[in-house]
Amino acid sequence: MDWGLVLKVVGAVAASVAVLAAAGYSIEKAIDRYESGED
Amino acid sequence: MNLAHLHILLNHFPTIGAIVAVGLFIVALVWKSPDLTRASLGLFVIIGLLTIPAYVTGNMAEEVLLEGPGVSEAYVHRHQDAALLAFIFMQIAGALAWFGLWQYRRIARTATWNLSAVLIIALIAIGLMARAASFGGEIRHTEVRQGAEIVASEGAVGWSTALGTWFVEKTWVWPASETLHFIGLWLLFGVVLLVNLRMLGIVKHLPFSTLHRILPWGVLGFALNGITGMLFFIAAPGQYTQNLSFHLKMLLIVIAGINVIYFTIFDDAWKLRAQDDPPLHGKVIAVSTIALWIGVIYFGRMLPFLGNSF
Repeated sequence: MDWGLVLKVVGAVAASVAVLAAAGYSIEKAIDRYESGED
Repeated sequence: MNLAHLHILLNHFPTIGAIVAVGLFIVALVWKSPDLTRASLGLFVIIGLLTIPAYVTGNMAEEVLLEGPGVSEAYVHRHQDAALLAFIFMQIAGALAWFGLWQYRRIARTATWNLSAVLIIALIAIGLMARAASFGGEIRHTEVRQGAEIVASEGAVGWSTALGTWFVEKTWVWPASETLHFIGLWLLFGVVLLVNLRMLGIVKHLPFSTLHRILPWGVLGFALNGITGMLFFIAAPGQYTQNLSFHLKMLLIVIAGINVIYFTIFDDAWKLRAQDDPPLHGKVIAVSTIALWIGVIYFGRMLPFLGNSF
């Protein structure tokens, strides 16, 4: 088993999911803001 | 008819379509017409979707062209690089336009930042598409070539080809992208199912506006799959260009994408309160949307079986 490869794949996926989650979270926050009339 | 014909036919939609959409958009902004603004935003989304087959058929045309005599690979690669850049900007414009439509539905207006961003990115996309179209014309029409003849130097490739080579050569990139493609699929199809099942009368206690809120998560999934999917294509176009399964997948993605606009443009779905039954055409759209996305997944999975991938 090439553990280096496994680590790189898992790392790349985890980093991308984190970016995706951050994007989703900021969209949610933005919706909250403008639906409550703050924005 | 071969795939080169298809490319010549399809590449007019994004180039001419974007010019028409920007014209309409500017008129809408000057007249301050919400309906016209929404119509032009919808047009940007449709053009963004049509740019996908316009781009991928380019590689199919390349294969046909390079089989014949008198076609310079250097001119083809220059066109390909220019087309990819134009494609990226058109997709960003389409995504921003979709977000504008979605936002309008929630707060009955579109933010100024969104309208400005759509206009600026779309104008850049038009410029880039005009450049790509001009380079494309120069492949065959030597009479319109300007400046010195381009000669391919030994081992030199365009940046899009270099990106594809990097994608294949780094052993971790393909499996990581494949995993992300599946994560994007869950996000997209999960949201598609939830929203459309409500249209079919399941979870009726939820008003549609509640489910409408999660649509951006589905679009995030679509964007993730669009990026990883295009990277697969750029890295190994030969696996897809002659693959019937891929052709059908692209066709269904465009139709399914256009179908999704229904939830942001038309009022039927938005007006559904808790316990309300959707109109018949809403149910028809819901069934067709679910079926189309199942088709996309099916033909994606069948790439190696019905076609020649991998």
